[in-house]
Amino acid sequence: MNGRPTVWGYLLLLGWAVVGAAALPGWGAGWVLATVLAVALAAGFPFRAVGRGLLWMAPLAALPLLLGWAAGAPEALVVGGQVALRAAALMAAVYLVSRSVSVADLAALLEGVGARGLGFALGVAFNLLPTVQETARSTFHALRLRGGLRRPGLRTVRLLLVTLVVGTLRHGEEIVAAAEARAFHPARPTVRAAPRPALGDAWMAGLALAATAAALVC
Amino acid sequence: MNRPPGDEASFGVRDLVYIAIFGALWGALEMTLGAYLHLLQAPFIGLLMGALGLALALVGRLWVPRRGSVLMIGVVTALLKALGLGGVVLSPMLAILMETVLAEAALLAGGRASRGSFALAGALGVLWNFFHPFLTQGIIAGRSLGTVYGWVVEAGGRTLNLPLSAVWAIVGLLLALHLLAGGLAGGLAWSVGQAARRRVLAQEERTS
Repeated sequence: MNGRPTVWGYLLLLGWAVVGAAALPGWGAGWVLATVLAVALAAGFPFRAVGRGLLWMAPLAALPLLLGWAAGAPEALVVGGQVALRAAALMAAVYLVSRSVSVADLAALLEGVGARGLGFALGVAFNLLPTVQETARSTFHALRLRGGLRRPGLRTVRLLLVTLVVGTLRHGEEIVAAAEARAFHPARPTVRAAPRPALGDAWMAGLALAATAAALVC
Repeated sequence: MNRPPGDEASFGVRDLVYIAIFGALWGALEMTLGAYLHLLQAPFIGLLMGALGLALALVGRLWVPRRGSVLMIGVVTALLKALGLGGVVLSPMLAILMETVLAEAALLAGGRASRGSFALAGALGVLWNFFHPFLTQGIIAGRSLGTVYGWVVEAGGRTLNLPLSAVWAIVGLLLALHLLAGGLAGGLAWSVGQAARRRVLAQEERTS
């Protein structure tokens, strides 16, 4: 069993962070933040990168604290601090997971649980984005030049959508032909197999459990 | 559309390409108009983006008339959204997924594809945007449902220019607005899908 955490572990950590930050009472979100930071350091994120991440989060997380301070009452400051800690814990968890799990890993995982062909669809969609944006731009300008935006309403939106959909669908046939020429079939295994849970994931789960217990006891 | 025999349970290559196309359309909409509206801090962004995005996903259902296609378009869009900035994407990703789950459930319950079933799917999907703050604000701010309900009513009252004492009117109006926008989006998707199909068929006839 490989020691490094996989996409399973990171998703488990994210789910736990979301539920934990919301459900743990008082300053319990601090345990979530500490656990996420510990995992980040254990996963090989350099101290400097973690520090930089915290620095980026600081203004956003500090906002509720400032609002609490501005309210004047000591309870408002406590509530502001708790909200700030919760926001920091969530942002840290999302940042860690988005930096550690590639979209390809996520797609492979979803393919493994039944969403066959998702990786292929995602790749095609990603490559189509500039084409779609270009088509949208030219559709919009064409419509504007023909006076279609003079009285904007549901009819204009409909016209815009029809032109955009038809314009983008034109590329579909080319992509289907290219995929079939390469003998691609969604039922066959694709580039990468779904990752199997590793020992690192069990460690992550254990750490999350320990942090929950500590937050409830302390 | 040609399908390989005995392959009804899963998506074929053509289905996946269409799913990708509609996912990319919704993704591009989120990255351009969605980002712009968020910058402007416009009211009812969730409602507007949800309605337009679901309209595109429902048009996609006409091209991929299989169970789960709207959900799959939602998953592709949400994953495209994940390529954006780290912490900012969790809430919209969740909203996109929930909207498509609800729309897919409505399409399953609605039976044969029709303007009515599309309107129902749109209405249910967009309705999620009313409840979305209860989940996200509840998690981040750790407040009870009652507190978040208060915020929603306050924000709704401000936007609709109604006094806070008219709480039931505000909630009712907000719910009706979401259902109406979703229903319109579903109806629009049906008419856009049919018009686009006619245009594609005409193009194919011209070329053949």
